[in-house]
Amino acid sequence: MTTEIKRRRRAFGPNAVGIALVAPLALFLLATFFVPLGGMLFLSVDDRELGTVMPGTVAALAGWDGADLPPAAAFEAVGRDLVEARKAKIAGTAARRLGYESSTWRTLIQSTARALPRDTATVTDWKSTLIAADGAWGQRGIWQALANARGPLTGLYLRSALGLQGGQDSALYVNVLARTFAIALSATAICILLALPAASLLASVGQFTANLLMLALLLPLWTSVLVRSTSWLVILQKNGVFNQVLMGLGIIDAPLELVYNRIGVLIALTHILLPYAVLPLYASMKALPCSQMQAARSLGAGPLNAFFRIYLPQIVPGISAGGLLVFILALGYYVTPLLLGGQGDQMLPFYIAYNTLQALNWGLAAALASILLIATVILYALYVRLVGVQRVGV
Amino acid sequence: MADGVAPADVYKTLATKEGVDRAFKKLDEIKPNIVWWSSGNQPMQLLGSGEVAMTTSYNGRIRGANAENKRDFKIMWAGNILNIDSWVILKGSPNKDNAVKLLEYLGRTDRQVEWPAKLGYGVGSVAAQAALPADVAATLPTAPEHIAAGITVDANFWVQNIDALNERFAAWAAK
Amino acid sequence: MLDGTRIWLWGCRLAGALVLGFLLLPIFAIVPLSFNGGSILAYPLQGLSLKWYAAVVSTPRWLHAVANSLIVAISTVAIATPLGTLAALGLDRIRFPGKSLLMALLISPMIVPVIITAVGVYFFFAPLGLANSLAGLVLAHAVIAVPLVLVTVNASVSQLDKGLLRAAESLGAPPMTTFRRITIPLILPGIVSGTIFAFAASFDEVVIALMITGPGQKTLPRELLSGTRENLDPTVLAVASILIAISAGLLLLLTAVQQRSAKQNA
Repeated sequence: MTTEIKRRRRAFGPNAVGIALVAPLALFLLATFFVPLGGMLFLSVDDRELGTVMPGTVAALAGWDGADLPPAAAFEAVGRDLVEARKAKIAGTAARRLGYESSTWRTLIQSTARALPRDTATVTDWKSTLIAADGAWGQRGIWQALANARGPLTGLYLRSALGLQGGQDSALYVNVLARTFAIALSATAICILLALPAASLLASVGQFTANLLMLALLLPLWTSVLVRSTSWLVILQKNGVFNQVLMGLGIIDAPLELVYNRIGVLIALTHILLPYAVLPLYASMKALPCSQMQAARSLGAGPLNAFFRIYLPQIVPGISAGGLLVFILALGYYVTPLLLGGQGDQMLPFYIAYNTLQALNWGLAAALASILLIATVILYALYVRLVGVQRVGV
Repeated sequence: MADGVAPADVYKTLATKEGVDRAFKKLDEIKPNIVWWSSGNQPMQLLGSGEVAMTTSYNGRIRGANAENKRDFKIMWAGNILNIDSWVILKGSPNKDNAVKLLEYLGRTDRQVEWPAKLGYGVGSVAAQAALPADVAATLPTAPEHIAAGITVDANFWVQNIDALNERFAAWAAK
Repeated sequence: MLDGTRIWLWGCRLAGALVLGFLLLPIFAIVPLSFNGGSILAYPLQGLSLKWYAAVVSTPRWLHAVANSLIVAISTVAIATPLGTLAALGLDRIRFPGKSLLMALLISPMIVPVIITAVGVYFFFAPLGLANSLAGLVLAHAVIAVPLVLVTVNASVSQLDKGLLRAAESLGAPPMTTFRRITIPLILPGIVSGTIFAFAASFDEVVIALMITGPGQKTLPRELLSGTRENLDPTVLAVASILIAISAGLLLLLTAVQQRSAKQNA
């Protein structure tokens, strides 16, 4: 019995101390990372905005079945809410939110708020007043939009971000999602193709030379993404180093267009991600005895045959680990496409930043970020499964 | 304006759905040749590096690039867009009286004539424009012949339409 | 037959060397341009000159940015290193089934795209008044820096010879003494490496800085980004070259620390 307690205490003791040591970091990340990310996920479905500007309307439409025009009480609520909102100068908030349903409603709310009399006591029949202000109030469309926007939760932003909402925004984001994955996939494929010879070179030379060559991997890895993107801009722009050299050698007559398009983005992204592909490949190639290839060759296999039949299958784990890591990372770059791409080459992160800082559509920004986050988490889980959590820090 | 709309009719045209469609159709035509910029000095960078042959820009930046970076950029005034900036005193400002004094000072004709030589931008008062030396006056967006060649930003139009047009523009630009 | 093999082998090597050259190209292409006597960003250089570096150190905008970056990076390290080190020591003691999940969660800021961290922190900090402040930037940088410390220290803790600790214990050393005299010196290279990683992560970071700082808190990478977009002249390349030199210096420092510890272990 006592030995059992002792054993338990011994097992528990280190755990208690360990947990106490991990706790500060866990609490820190909880407060500065997990709670903010949770808040962001919530923001993508949060829809309480209309309720703060037009509380009467939200309450009045709670029981509306949507089949016909709502009861007179709803007209009165809209009228009174809009008059109040205009006085408090917050009608724009309601107009913006309804504009996400359809841009027609944005104008309707604003013009109605302006058209209504400031003194609500003079109004006796709200229904005819509203319809007189704009005939749209006599149709179901705007009422449906108000009912959709009454909160407290909405799928609008996620639907827009996934392209299920219809309308211009949706067409845009389907496009952006497809493009983001296409660019990330192309960069991954190029990285693997380039990583194969680089890793095999590293694996085939002596340890000292390999360490020296490894600097060629580590130095770029340590140089900031921004500096490398700037550098590629200098190299690739119209009067840049690359075009000057080619023209100087007489290879081309007119400068090539290599930036503000897909080519520039892919070159720079490949450069930034390549070390992440080479390192795991190098590790898996180094574990392979080169005698195998020689054996295959001496048994009469051609070089390509030997490569595909013997070598490739054994480095598949390295390829998939590197490829997956590169793909995950490629989804998230903001600065590189910003500097080297045109408007049609901007990826998901650009639109997250755009909606956060410029369009001020935080719900949509949060929805786009949530999609990227979820995609990353799934791929990350797959990666951990594949290579183990200890190997994540390359 | 590039599609043949007279400067005076630009906002009238854009207020209709057909007008907006027409504008986007014109944009479709030139889209393959456009490099977009988002902050004031980028056009000077793009022009200077030879990345673009012509660009839209704030006229003060062109003056700045010519004066400081020894460029020789020329301005084409046909179809220019004039925007008038405003000073704002926020409600509840602690130094409201001084702010009003500053505005009064900035509005004086003898102060206004000092700016164009330093900034390159136009002046806010007709008297100041008239008081400027002729060679400086002719380089400004507020020169009468430049105002006649372009349009003045219609703030009311944009207040009503900016969100809808922005949304459509963003969707179009990203395609 | 033999020739085929040779061609294949050397072809592979040549391709590999070209790829490594591609990796180094942008770094070596721009550093010389920052010493150009003329202002055109192309070769051949029009004479050598340090004037662009002189322009950097005489411009308040750049100096202000350097000061901000140093303040932020040092404060970030001051938060991330102790938190990450303690957690690495703690994780080493914990034995329960959810441990690898805990580890995965603690290092997840390293995998989550920076733009998401930036936006999440922005939405969260804005109502708290932490957006547009260096304090907010430091907290956000600590989030992305701490996993680097954790991973690095964790690696050296797991290599720690537990026999030494037991020996100290059996000789009657109190736990704190064992920790101070045995554990800390042995994992010090890990802590120093982690600190270097954390410093570099903060010093080079631009996306969060772009989101949550105002004009008053511009860091060096943020100024570099505006410079690249708006006025790409040799001054900007001088700043980029300085950043490359700092990165290379940190890399050398890291290599030196790791080699010394490898020697000690041997």
